[in-house]
Amino acid sequence: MINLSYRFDQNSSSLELAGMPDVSNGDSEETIGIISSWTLKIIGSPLLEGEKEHLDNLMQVILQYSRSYISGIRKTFISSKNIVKISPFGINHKLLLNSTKEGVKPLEIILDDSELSDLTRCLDHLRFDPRFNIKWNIKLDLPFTKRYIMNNINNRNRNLNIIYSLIVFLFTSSLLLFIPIDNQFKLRETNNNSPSLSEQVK
Amino acid sequence: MKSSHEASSQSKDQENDSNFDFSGTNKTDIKCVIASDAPKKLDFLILVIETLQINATESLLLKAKNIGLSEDFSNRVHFWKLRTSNPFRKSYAFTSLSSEQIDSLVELIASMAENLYPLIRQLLSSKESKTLNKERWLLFNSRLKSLISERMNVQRSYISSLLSDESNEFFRELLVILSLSCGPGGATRLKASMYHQI
Repeated sequence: MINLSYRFDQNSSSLELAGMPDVSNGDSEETIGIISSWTLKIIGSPLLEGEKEHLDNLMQVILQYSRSYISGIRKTFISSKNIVKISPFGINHKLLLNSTKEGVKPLEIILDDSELSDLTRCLDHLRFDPRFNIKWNIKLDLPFTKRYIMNNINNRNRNLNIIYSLIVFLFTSSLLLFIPIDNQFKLRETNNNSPSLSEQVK
Repeated sequence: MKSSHEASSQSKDQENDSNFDFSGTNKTDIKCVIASDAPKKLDFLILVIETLQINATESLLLKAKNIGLSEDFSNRVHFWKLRTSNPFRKSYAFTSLSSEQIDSLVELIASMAENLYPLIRQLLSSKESKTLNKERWLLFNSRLKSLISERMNVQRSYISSLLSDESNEFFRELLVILSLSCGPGGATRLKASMYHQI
């Protein structure tokens, strides 16, 4: 049996995959069709390893997060089986990995922007590598709807002009209410039979 | 009968409509429109590239030629005309970009970002020496701000707020966009952010 191993290095991240060709699927000798193991090294963090499902979960979450981040959206993403979670953490990003083994505490990794882009590039290299014939369970990079962006973008980035103008309008209107008006004022009726000036002189 | 305004706006909508084609494993056509801030974003991203690399315009044109982009990138004037679609420019031409032009600019920016990745990474990294990082940011800031004040309409409140902003939040956002535009999936990611799904 041919055992293959490929590595993707990107500054702070290094992803190594081992596997073999899936002969039943017609893979060539240099193509990995079945992943037997993978390891991910992120500088300053413990070594990560697992099965294909775990890598799938990691890819789902990191690629979705990066897709959102490039559109200015910073929100939490959790993988389908709650194995991997990534959320904003100040200007950094918190990656939380839950082990499927019982009694193992979740692992927390803080990534800065450069480490996030390194990891994203590593995973991008993997999913577009022709030496792998594997169907990844990941969402494609598609445009968001306007509503989705408006609902998820940071509050401080929202265009609040309409709200500001409404507040200014209400404030000035309420100020106008304090201006005193003469309620006693009555219109004087015009009297046509009042004496003319010549008659008054007489 | 449709009024001339209605007809023109409809034709403009049709021009801005695009079938989003992504380089994934399965091909799908998704109806989408160009995001209103796409020309602004693209122009600012090119401005960041110009900040990071001296004589970047020449490199951009050469890169465009190498990756086989259209005539819009054949010379400086055509390229500048594309960039005048940014409403914040002094020379705003009241034009909009077509989806082909957006796709070409995205491809160009992504491949330029790939070359500049080590520099972008240095600026975004929090693990490097703080004093060195501060110096880098100071240099980057002053150069980018001078390019902004040279080319953008400083009368616009948005531009004046950018110039006076000390937190550099927007500049950092631009660098993050560039860093995530690198690599094999970067151009598709950036392209997706330039459109809205309908």
